[in-house]
Amino acid sequence: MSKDLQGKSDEELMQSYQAGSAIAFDILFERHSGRVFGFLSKRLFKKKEAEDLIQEVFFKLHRSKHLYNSTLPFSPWLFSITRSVLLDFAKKKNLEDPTDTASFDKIAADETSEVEHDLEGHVSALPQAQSEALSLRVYEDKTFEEIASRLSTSPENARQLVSRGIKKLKQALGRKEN
Amino acid sequence: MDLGQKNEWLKEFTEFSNLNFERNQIPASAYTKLKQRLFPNPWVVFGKVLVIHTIIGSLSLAVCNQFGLNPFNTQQTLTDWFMRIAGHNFCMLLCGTFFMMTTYILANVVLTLEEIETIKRYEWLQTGIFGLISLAAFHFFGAELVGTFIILWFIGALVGGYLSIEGSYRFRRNLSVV
Repeated sequence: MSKDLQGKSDEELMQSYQAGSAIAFDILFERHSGRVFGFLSKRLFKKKEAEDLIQEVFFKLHRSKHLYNSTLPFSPWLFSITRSVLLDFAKKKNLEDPTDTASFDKIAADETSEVEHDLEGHVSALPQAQSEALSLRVYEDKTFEEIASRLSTSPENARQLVSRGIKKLKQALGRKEN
Repeated sequence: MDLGQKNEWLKEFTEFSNLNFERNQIPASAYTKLKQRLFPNPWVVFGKVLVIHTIIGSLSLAVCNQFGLNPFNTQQTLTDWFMRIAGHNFCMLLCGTFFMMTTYILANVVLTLEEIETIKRYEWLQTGIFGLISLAAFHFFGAELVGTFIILWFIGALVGGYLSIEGSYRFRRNLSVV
C-alpha cells in the first residue's frame, strides 16, 4: 500500500488523504516538511518556533484538506498555508511582517513618490548598522543569519535593525505605517 | 491581492520551491506530536466514547425507555409517543436510533474534530459494539429482549450512529476551517 502511494503525485496523494489515508499524509510530510521547515527557519530566529509552526502548518493542512481541489497543484496551496500560518504567528507576537522586505518593495515600487529618485539616499542616511542591514536584506536578499554574521551580531538584532530601518524609512517618507 | 503583493507572493513561492532542506533536520518529536494530534489512538477515543455512552445512555432512559427499562420512573416518554404514532416495530427502530444518536451528539461537544474523525473511520464497527454492549446491559438490568425487536432496535442503533457521526463530523469540519 505504502509503495503504491510512494509513486503517486502530490495531488493524487491529497486525494487519498482526503479519503482518510494516514500513509498519504506521511508521504506528503516526508516530501514537503523539509521545505516548509526551511522557509520558516529562515524567517524565525528560534528553532523551537519553527518546530511549533511546522506542526501548525500541517495541522492546518489537515483541517482544510476537504477544501483542496486536486485538479490544482499542491505546492502553491501548501505554500499559501505556510505563509498564512507565519503571518498569523507574526501578528500574534506583534512582530513586523516576517516577509518584511514587502513593505520596502512597496515603497520602492510607488512611482508617485519622490522615493524612486532618492531611495538609496534615504537608505544611506539611516544609522550605519540599519543602513547596512537593510541593504543586505533588500538588495542582496540575504537571510537574517547571514546579515547577523556579516554585522557580527545576533539574528534577532539583525531583524530589529532591518525592521527599524524600514520604520525610519517610512517616517522619512511621511507614510503611515500599515 | 494587489500587484505588489502578488509579486511578493511569487518571489517567496519561488524561494520556497527552490529550498532543499533535509527532512531529518526536523526533530522527530515534532513529527510524533503532530501525528498524535492528527491521528489519535482509536482505543483511547473508543474509551472516551464508551464513558460518554454509559452516562448519556443511562440518562436517556428518562426520556426514552428501552425494552421497558424505566429506572427514573418517568410517566410520559418518547417511547409512548413512538408507539402511538408508529406502532411497536417502528418504535423499536426509533428507540435504537435515539439511544445511539444522543451519545454521538454529546461526543461531538466533548471530543476534538480529529477524535471524531477517528470514530468516523470505524463508525460501523464502533456503533455495532456499543449496540451489543447496550443490549447486554439492558438484559443484565432485567429488560425483556425479544428476537425481532432486538434486530429492529439494533438496526435503528446502527442507523442513528451512522447519521449522527456523519452529521457531527461534517458540522464540526465546516466550523473548524482555519
